[in-house]
Amino acid sequence: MKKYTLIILLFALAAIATNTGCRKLDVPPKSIIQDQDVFGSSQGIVAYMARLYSELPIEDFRYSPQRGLNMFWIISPTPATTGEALSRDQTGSMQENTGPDWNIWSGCYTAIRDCDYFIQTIPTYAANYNADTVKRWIGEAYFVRGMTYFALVKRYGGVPLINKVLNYQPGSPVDSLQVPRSSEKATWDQVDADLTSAIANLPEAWTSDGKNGSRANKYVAAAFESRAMLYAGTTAKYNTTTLFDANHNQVCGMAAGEAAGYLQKSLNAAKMLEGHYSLYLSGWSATDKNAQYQNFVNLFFDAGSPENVFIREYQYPNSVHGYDAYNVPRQLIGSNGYSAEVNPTLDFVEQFDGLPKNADGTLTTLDASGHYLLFDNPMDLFSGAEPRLRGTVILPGDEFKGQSIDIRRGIYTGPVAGGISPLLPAGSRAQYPATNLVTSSTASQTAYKLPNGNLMNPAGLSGIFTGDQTCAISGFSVRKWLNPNLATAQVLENNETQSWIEMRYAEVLLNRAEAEAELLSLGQGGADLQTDAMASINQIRSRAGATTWTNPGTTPIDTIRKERRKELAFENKTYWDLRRWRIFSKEQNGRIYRILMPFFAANSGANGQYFFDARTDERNDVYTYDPRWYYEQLPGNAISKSPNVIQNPGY
Amino acid sequence: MLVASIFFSAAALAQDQIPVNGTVLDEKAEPLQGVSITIKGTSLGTTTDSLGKFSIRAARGATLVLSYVKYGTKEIKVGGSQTVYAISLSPVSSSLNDVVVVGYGTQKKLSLTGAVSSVSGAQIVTTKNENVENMLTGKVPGLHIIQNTAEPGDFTNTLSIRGMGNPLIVVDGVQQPDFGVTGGNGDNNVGTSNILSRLDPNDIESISVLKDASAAVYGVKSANGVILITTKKGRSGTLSLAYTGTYGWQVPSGLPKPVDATQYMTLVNEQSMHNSNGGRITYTPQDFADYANGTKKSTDWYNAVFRKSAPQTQHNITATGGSDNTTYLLSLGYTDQDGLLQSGDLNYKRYNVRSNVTSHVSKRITVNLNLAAILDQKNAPAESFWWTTRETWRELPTQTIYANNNPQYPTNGLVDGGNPVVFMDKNLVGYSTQNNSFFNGAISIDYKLPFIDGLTLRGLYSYNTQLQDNKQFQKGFNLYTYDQASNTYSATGNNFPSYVQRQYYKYPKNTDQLSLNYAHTFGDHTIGALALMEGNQQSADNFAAYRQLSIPVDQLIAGNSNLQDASQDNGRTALYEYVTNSFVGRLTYDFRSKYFAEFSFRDDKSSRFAPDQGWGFFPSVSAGWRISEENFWQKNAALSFIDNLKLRASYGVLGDDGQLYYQFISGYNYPANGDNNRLPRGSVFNGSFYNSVQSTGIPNPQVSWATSHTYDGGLDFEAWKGLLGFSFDYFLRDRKGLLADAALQVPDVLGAPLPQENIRGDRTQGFDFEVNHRSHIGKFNYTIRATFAYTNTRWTNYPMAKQGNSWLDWRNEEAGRNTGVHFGQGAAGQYTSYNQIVNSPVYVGRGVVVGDYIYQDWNGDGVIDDNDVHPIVYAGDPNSGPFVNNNTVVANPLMPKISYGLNLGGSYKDFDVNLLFQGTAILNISYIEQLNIPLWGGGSALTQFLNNYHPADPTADPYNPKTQWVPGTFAYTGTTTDVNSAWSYTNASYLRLKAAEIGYSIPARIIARAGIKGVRVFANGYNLLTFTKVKYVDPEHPTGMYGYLYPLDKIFNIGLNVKF
Repeated sequence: MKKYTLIILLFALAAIATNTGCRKLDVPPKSIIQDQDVFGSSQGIVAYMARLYSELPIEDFRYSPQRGLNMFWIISPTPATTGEALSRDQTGSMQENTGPDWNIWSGCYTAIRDCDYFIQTIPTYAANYNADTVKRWIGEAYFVRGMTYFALVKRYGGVPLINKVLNYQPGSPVDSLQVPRSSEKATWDQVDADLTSAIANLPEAWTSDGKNGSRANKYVAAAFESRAMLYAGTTAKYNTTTLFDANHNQVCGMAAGEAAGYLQKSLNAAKMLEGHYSLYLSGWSATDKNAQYQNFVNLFFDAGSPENVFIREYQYPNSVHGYDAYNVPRQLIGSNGYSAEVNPTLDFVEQFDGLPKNADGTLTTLDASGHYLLFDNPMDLFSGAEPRLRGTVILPGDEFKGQSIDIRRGIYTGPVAGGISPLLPAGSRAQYPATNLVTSSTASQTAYKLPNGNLMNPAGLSGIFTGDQTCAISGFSVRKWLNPNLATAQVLENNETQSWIEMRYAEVLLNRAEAEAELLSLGQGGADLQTDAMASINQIRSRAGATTWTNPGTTPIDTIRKERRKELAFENKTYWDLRRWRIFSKEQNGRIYRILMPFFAANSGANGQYFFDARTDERNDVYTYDPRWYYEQLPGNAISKSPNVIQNPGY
Repeated sequence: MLVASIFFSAAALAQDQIPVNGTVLDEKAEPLQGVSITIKGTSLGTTTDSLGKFSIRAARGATLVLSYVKYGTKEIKVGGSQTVYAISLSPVSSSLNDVVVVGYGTQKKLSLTGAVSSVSGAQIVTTKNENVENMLTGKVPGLHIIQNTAEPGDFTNTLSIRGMGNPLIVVDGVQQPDFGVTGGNGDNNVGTSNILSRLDPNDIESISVLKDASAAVYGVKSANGVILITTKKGRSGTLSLAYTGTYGWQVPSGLPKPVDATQYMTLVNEQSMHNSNGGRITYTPQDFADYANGTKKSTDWYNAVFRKSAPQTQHNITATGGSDNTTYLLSLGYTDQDGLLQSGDLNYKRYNVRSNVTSHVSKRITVNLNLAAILDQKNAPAESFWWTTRETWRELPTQTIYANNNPQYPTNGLVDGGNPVVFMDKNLVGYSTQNNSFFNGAISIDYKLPFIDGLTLRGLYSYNTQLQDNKQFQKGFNLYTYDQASNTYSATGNNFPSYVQRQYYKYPKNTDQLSLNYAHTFGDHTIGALALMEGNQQSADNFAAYRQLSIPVDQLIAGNSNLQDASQDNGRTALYEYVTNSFVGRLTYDFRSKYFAEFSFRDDKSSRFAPDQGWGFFPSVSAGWRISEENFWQKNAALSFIDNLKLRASYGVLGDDGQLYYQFISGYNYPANGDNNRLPRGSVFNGSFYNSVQSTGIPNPQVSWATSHTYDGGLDFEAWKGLLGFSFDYFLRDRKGLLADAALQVPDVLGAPLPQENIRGDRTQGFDFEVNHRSHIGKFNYTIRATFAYTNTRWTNYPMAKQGNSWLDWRNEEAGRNTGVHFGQGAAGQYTSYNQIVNSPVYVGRGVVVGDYIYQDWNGDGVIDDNDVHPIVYAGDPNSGPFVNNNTVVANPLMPKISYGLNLGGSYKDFDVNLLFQGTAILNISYIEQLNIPLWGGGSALTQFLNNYHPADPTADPYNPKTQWVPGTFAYTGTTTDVNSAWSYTNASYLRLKAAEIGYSIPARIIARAGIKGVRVFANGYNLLTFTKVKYVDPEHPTGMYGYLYPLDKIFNIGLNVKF
């Protein structure tokens, strides 16, 4: 027995010996896949395209100048930098902060490499697919690359152009990678060339996907061509900053004479979409203001909208945003504790038609004797406004998600006989006096007993609170993009999924009108351009319920720009428009934006009445935009690692 | 030092050969079995029995020599009238004959040539903690341990030998992986940890720490040193049972409290008055009066959430016994630790089981089977502790816990919409459980080869695995807002819809070793040799399932098929398989225990290496010289008090492949890395989400492990027969080829992720020493053991592009600079008067008030700006630590340069006492958010900020030069420190009474009748006293997670040891 035990043990030792030192070391990594897995099947190509489109640098729900692209946390939202709105955490003008999370400079070059690699590699695998399919994929790669250069040039001016895959041998010198900046013109031309290639290669529609719009087709590329070339043309026209490198290459600015060429390309591209896309009018009625309002709201939620040219879709749980969580009115706050980050300014609201205005264009809040106008319902002040305003901004007392949005600065308990005089002298930046005013520091309120015996909170449920800015600090709350059907329990960060409409046909019409007006101002084209521009604007105006444009006036461009700012408000477009028009530094030059504070006069009428005080931002936040910022600062390491790259002026 | 008390007993009997009887007891008066007793000059002898008794006949006047391992020898002259002796033996402190476990073997301490420190199980258990690592603190010179949390079930510590980084852990000869216990169980995840933290301390025989080239036998894993753990084995004899148990109370060590309502309103008013454009009072005198007269009541969130103390208990029972052929050890341990939450829903339980059986199957063959299992479970509310802490500090004391004080309606907090009283309650928010099961099994066979004396063939196979099974049930709940105007409660839904998530992680590893060991003495020459082959295979796999619930049942089966997700973590620590083959060789030579030399090497080949990488060869050499054995020394009477003086030196090349990944291949990550906070993992097309592929970028076929060139010079000294022992080591480690990508040089236009390259280098150097002293004062026996270590690391090679000017180059340069140096503004006091502000030599903004922090005009240009930034402190990266970040362990953890310990032990009669002082020096810490800024982000404030500069009259304009100020530590509310300045750093040096134990052993005569061999009761304290400049939190409290991590604790234990 013992002998057998011995033998068994010796066998065991031998087994260990055989095992030891003979383990096979060829163990591939478990989570890395190879080119043939990706390019060899259409599923692999979709995965590649999913990468390209996720990298596509567009300023969507997850963008703010404070935190750049692809960041979930949007508490200094873009409109709070443009004067469209005020926000709790944004206290002035700012230059885009391009590096914190998704570094725009390096991120764009990663996207460009991914496009270049695809364009270079797919021919090797082309035999697996039919030729049209390969062609459209290549078109998509050109589309993403063109869009990426566009993202770079609108920020930095001329940048290094990398149109083939670069290589790096670890440990070897990096001289060949120290590519200098091309001229700004060459960079805009690259955008033009890529988008033109995309237009040439892409199909009219994706037969499999219909017109969904989350992948590019011929018209998507054309629509962006119209945007990009408009940016190029207006930059050439309005820019005054120049920078030449040692080789006399103009990396910032272009000759003014280039403007017309780009504007013409913009116009041509915009016209390509005619007949293929149209404004969303599904619930619209020429006579029903409420239908016009509802139609404007719905346009952002109807997946079948013929106006959607290019969208970015979201889906829970893999790709989401938090727009509603950050922006719902305070009384509809979700459980994360955010709300009301975008509070439209009075300056923004005053652009809309149909409001009572003073001679200087400001909103009328006082009667002829200088006393406050009194209203039973705060919405009465806005009753004549074009319906698009309500589709864009939640007004005090407006209805949203079945609730009346209660925005109130405080209760005025003083005497009303003979009218209520303004609480502060005109133009005063002082605090409101404490006498005769009941206010609340937070949303946790002690109710005030009105003369009729009813209890009323001093501040509205959606603010304004004196010690807590998570409320309608301007007197307004944003309406656009907010999902009216999202249950409050679902109003959460990283939980929202409505699509971002990056390009809608309204913009194409606006591009077209602006290109036409600019061409006319440069002495190009004939009167038909004016007619066409007005027709485009009027399509948008009639849909908005605004008055139509009948007289071009002396500065038609101003009318077109104002229309653009109203129509595309809160879509992160105005920020770029103010830059390319080079008017940011003129609009924001020691400016304090204006707000509209609703008060409830407890002793007015039988049950109390509302009045409005128009004043400057109570926080006295001063906006001053530095003209240097029209060309952003290149990241320091873009220069330190590549001495051939020069910095933009002023940094 | 021997202490003997010999009692006179009976009359003498015969004249020549007399019977000598006696009992040998140890220092605790317990019988010592197996003590060898010989008559000097003869071969006659005997041994003591299990009661310590012996009996021998000896010539009158003969000398008995008693000897016992670790107790040394003692000589007794017999004769006179005494024939019955009660002899007491004490352990000798001379540890020269101690056997120390080294890599793949053991060595006598006498012959060690490397820097190896060891600590016995008995020394470990003088500190009581749920984590063995914390029981080692201060006990091993050069072993740095930072406790990062006392959260039940979270064993995240920072452990390093000589500040060199994460060491390799070896248990009973088998390398243990670092488990990437990422969990991802919501926010309740824990960091990486190793099995050491979860071992039962009662199972540990000894721990050796290989600090220098002696670790080279572990090759490519050895660069940061090795910790060798040896578990206990059975002892032959009748069954012996030992029970150890403690029950303790955990009390937070440094958990700041938030202010009350009046204090809060005071700070808010200060903040709103603090406005150079004109301040105002937010809270009126009426608001204050309401709290003063009792109309309103301040809310105490702290006591509503945190307990004053939480219980903890540990028990172990160990049985050993066996015959001459077979011995066994069976051990069962149980640990139960409660957390500080009032709800009691945060807690941890662990079971440790071990069975170690050794059998001498035949004269030549010995088989050992060592099986161990650890099962543990951490329970927590679904809302993480750190978030609950954050909200406890943040929610306003002016708001009630329940809306309108109606307990049916928990308040929807004004800050973040939170309510910590709800968050801590698993019945409301759901729960998270994390179950780990570890299995370690090893079988080894030793075969003493015939024909060649001293040659042993040994085979070992070991299988280790960890399974982690996590469950998270996140339950939707409502928080309420009361509207007084309408007398209504409105609900805010949180975490709807409810969901269940399950996660499985598996980390199996198997190891086999085949070795030949040779040891033989030829006259003056003793030779040892080892040849070993080792194979390791280690993998990690995981998956997770997530379902939103259709019905409120906490199981996946209750899920909604539309909202479900199955996923796999493809991170580097979660999904991998690595295989290695290795050869180890070692030769040792010893001449007359005077000259020692050792050479060893290891050859490693790994699937992580690039295919044409070849083998990694890691040699080491070391030598020792015992000068005290030289003739000239021994003849010198003046030196005779020195028992041992040994000089040692070692050099070795060690490797580190810990961060090595498959950078020699180019391909794609699928799905791409990403998350909902940043770039997502893919895109949605036409209503469907598509995962994307992410290029891994440029391959590096040359990528290789990093190498460490490690030098150590040491001196061991022992004098006065063990009264004083001293051991000193100086070390230097040069690392070359540290992995980093070349992102600091390669222009971004390349557009591709860069591979790791072997481009950086650093040098770590320092010294450590240990001093031992053992003596007695009367019947009071005492021991003193002091350890000290200093370490510093600087970059020797850190390639980066030139920054454009010499100032920027200096500012950004890392090469030649110590690691952990932080740049920032210097501190130059606080403004104590308006005059000082007006007369400031540097430009002062109009917002500055009395009490504001003054920054140093370092370059003297009259302006405080970025050009005044200079190196200010040594501090680890506040966000680093052992936490897993993007699946890689963040390098450069917070590590003090000095760590030291002082262990005092003593016994008097039946009492024993043990004190461990421990401390660190040269480290600074800094916090952000609420630990830095009062009223941060619109929340409440911590009480320390009441100690600030503020006007004596709270309504006085702070900008009025006539305003009277009350000075304080912090500036006026509204002024915050520049986080990158000396103002935000605090010196985190500390000295603490880490452990104190007092025990009483009930005399054997009292308990013997009950058949009990020993009973000892004791009281033990952990982290009892701390001396530090860090005022508000524990100096070890981690700054990670914004400073909200679970506090460290003080533990007050009572305990019992019983031997049967």
